[in-house]
Amino acid sequence: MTLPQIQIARAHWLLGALFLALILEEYLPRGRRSGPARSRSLVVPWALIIGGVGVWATTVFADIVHDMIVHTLWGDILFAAGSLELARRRGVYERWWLDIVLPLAYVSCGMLFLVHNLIDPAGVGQNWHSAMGLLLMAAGLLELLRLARGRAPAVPISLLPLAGFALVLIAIPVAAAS
Amino acid sequence: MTRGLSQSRLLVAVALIAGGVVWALVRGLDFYGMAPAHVGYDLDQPPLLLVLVGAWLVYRSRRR
Amino acid sequence: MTRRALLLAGCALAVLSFPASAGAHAVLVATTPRWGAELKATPQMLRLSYNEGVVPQYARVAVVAANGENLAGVPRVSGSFVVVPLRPGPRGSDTVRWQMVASDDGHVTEGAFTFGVGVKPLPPVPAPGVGVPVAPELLAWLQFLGIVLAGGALLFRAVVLVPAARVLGEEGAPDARAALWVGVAGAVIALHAGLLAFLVGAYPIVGGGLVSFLATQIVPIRVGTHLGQAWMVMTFAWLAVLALLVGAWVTPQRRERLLASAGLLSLAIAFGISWASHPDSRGTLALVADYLHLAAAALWVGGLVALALLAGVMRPRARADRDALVRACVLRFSRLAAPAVAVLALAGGYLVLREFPGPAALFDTRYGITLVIKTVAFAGALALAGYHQRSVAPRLAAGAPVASMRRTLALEVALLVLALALAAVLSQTAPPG
Repeated sequence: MTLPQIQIARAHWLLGALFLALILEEYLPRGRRSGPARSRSLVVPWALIIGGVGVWATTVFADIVHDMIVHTLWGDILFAAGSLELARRRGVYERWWLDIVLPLAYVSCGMLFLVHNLIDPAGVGQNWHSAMGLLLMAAGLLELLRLARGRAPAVPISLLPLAGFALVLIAIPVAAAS
Repeated sequence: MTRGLSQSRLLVAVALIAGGVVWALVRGLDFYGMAPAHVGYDLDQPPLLLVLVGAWLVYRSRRR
Repeated sequence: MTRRALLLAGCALAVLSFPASAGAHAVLVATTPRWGAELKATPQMLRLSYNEGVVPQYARVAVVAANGENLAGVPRVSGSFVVVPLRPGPRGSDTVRWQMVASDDGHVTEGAFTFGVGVKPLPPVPAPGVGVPVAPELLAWLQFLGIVLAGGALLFRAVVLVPAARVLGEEGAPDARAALWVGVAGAVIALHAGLLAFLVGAYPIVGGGLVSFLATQIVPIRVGTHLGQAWMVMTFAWLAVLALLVGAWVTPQRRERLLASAGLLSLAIAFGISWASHPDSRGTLALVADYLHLAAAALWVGGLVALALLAGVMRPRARADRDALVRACVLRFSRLAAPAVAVLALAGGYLVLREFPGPAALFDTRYGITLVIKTVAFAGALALAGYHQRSVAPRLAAGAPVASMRRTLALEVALLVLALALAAVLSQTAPPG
C-alpha cells in the first residue's frame, strides 16, 4: 500500500509535533530539580511502545523488502525500549543498566536512519534523513556521556539535538518525506 | 530556583509560538513571491503545529 | 494524566500507523490485465505502469503459463510504461515475473503477480530450482516452538499451576517471572521467524538472486497468497501477545488474567500457520484438522516444558514445598493432557488417511519417510506419557520424590521437540496425495 506523498509528509509533521511535545514535557523541568532518569511519567514509554507497533505496521504494509527489514529492527528497538522503560517507571523492574536504555534507543534508531539512507538513498529527502539520524545519535551519545559523568543537570544538553530532530520532522518538505 | 526552572518552560513555549507565527507569516509572504529563504510550503500545518506545541507547553507549565 | 497519556498515545498510533513507501524505486502502480483478474483468453498485450521511468534495455518480463511455457515477447518501454506482447496460452493461472531498473537512480525492483485464463488465478508459483535450503523448515520449526512456549507454557500456568497452588493453600500466585520470560521468548521468536518465513517463501516466487530480492515489490505476494495473508494477521496478533505480556509485567494485580489471555491468543495464532500452507483444494476439514493437531501439540509440549522448568524455578523454596507443588501440577496435568493427546492423534490420523493413496507411499516418498520417523518419535513420547500417568503419578500421589521422574520427563520433551522438527519438515514438503 503506497500513500500519496502529501499524506506521508503530514504524518512526519504530526509525528514531529507529538515528539516535540513529549520531549519538552519529559526533559524541561517544572520546578523540581529532578533529571529525566528519575522521571515517572508513563507517556514516554507508552509512546515508544505504540510507536514500535506502528513501525511494525509499516513493516507489514511496506512495498519493498529492504524497507521491511529495516523497519522491523526499528520497531523492535522502540518496543523493547518502551517496555523496559515502562517497567522501570512502574517500579516493577529496577536495574542499574535501565538508565542507558533510552540513550541506546536514540543512538540505534539514528544509526538505522543512516543505514537506511545507504541502502536506499531517497533522492531529495536524503539530506533530511541524514540530519535526523545524526541528531538522534548525538542525543543518545550526549545522554550516555551525561550518565557516565554522573551529572543530573536541570535541563540536559541532549534536549537540543532531540528538539532538533523533532523540528526537522516538522519542517521536512513534502517532496523529501518518505 | 524553582521559579527559574518553570520560567524556562515558558520561554521555550513562547519561542515556539512566536516561531510558528513568524513561519506562517513568511509562508504568507512566499505566497506573494516575497520570501527570501523559501521556507513556505503548500500547507499551513507545520507552523500551526509549532504554535500548538507551544500552547500546550504553556498549559502544562501553569501553577497547580 | 492517564487520559491525556492515552490521547497522546492514540495520536502517536494514528500517525505511526501510516505506512511509508520508499521513494527511489520504480514501483508498479497499475497493470492490464490487473493482478488477480480472470479472463476468457490470453490477452494480446500485457501493460505495466510504474511511478517513474525505467531503463528499456534492463526491462525483464516473463509470463509463465500453467504448462510452464513463457508467453512473453520482448518488452517495449516508453518512459514509465512497459508493453509486452503475449502469445496465446492454455487455460490456467499465469504468473507474471518482472524486473525493472529505475532510470533516475538505477535501483532494481522486481515482483510477481498472477491472472487467470478461463479460471480463477492461483497464487504466484515459485520459479523452478529457486529457494533457500533448510531455511523454510527451520523457520517453520521456530514458529511451532513460539506457539509451544507462548501458548502451551502460558496456558499451563493458568490451567494447572495456579489452581494447583490454590488447592495447596498457597497465598498468591507463584512467581511469574519464568512464565513471563518464556512467553516473551516464544512470542519474539515466532514474530521474527514468521517475517523471515514469509520472505523465504516469497523469494522463490520472484526468482533471481538474493541481493536483487531485497528490492522486490512484495505487495501482490503479500496480498495474493495464503502465506502473505496469514503473515499479515499473525504479525499483528504476535504484537498483541507481546503487549499483553508487557501489561502482565507492569500490572501485578491483573497479571494472571493477562498471561492467560496471551496464552489463548498465541494458541489461536496457530491457525495462521495452518492457513499459510493450506491450498484451497485441500478443503476446510483438512485445515481444521491441521490446526487442531498443532494446537493440541502446543498444549502437550508446552505443558511438559513448563513442568520441566518448574523444578528449576522453584529452587529458592524449601524442598518439601517445591515437591508438593510440582507433584500437584504433574497429577493435574496428567488428567488434562490426555484429551489433548487424543485430539492430536485423531487429527493426525485423519490427515494421514487424506494425504496417502496407499501404504506403499509411506516408504516411497520423502514425505512418507519423514512421517514414519515422526510417528515413531510420537509413539515413544506417548509411551512415556502413559508410563508417567499409570506408574509415576500414583507413586507421586503417595508421596514419592519428584526427582524420580526428571529423566523420563526430559526424554518425553526431547522426543516431542524432535517430532515438532519433523512436523516442520512435513509442512514444507508436498504430500504424495
